[in-house]
Amino acid sequence: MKSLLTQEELFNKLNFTHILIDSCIWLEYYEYTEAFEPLIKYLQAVHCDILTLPIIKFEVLRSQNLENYQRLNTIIDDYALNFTGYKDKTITEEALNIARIYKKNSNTSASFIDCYMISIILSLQKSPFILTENHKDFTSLLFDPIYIHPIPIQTKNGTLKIYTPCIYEFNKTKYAKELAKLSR
Amino acid sequence: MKSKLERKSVRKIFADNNYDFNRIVNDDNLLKNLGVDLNKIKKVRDFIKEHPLSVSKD
Repeated sequence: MKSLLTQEELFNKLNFTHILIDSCIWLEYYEYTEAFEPLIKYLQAVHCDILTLPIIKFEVLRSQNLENYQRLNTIIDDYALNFTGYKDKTITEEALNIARIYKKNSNTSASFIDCYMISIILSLQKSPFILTENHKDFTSLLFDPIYIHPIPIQTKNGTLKIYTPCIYEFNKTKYAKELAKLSR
Repeated sequence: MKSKLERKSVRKIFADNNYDFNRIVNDDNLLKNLGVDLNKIKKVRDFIKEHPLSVSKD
């Protein structure tokens, strides 16, 4: 695994690029706003535009009641640009490749939505970044973690929970190697 | 699209502050100079405080 970056390297990576924020982060940001706010501020300061996708909204909103649906939708719309510039057929085909790579490497937990998101990240030529807490499905198999931001939260029942949002960069070399293995 | 000058300004502010994440996100003046809309962030924070998520019935 590649080591994490220095703060200067992180700036150089993210400066004037784009990043996808995963559904889990939106939900955690709503729940623990002040604790997650520094991450949002940093992305804005470094001029890294936040992107969202209809499927990310779907994941955030699907289990919410109407009130929560409207609130979460407002927050995502306030911060994120809705990215729709992709061709569905190609994305779906790539998602299938990713699902097969995961299956071959015994990772069967990634949902179609996760594979689909990775496929869209793959299509972002210059900015293959995602901010997520889903370390299981955005693994080092295809991604390099470049920044981890631990957030300790005192829960209502007094226990300490540590959230670990991480910025991952899609590694196209690893993907090409894994893709080649599929055809063997 | 941001101009080259803006890119240079952003880089300079970060370099002057050793690219320090914590220093930058905790200094409102720096954030303003970097073009961060703090009013919007505060507005969102206030909105969330006033409208906490209710427990989903699903």
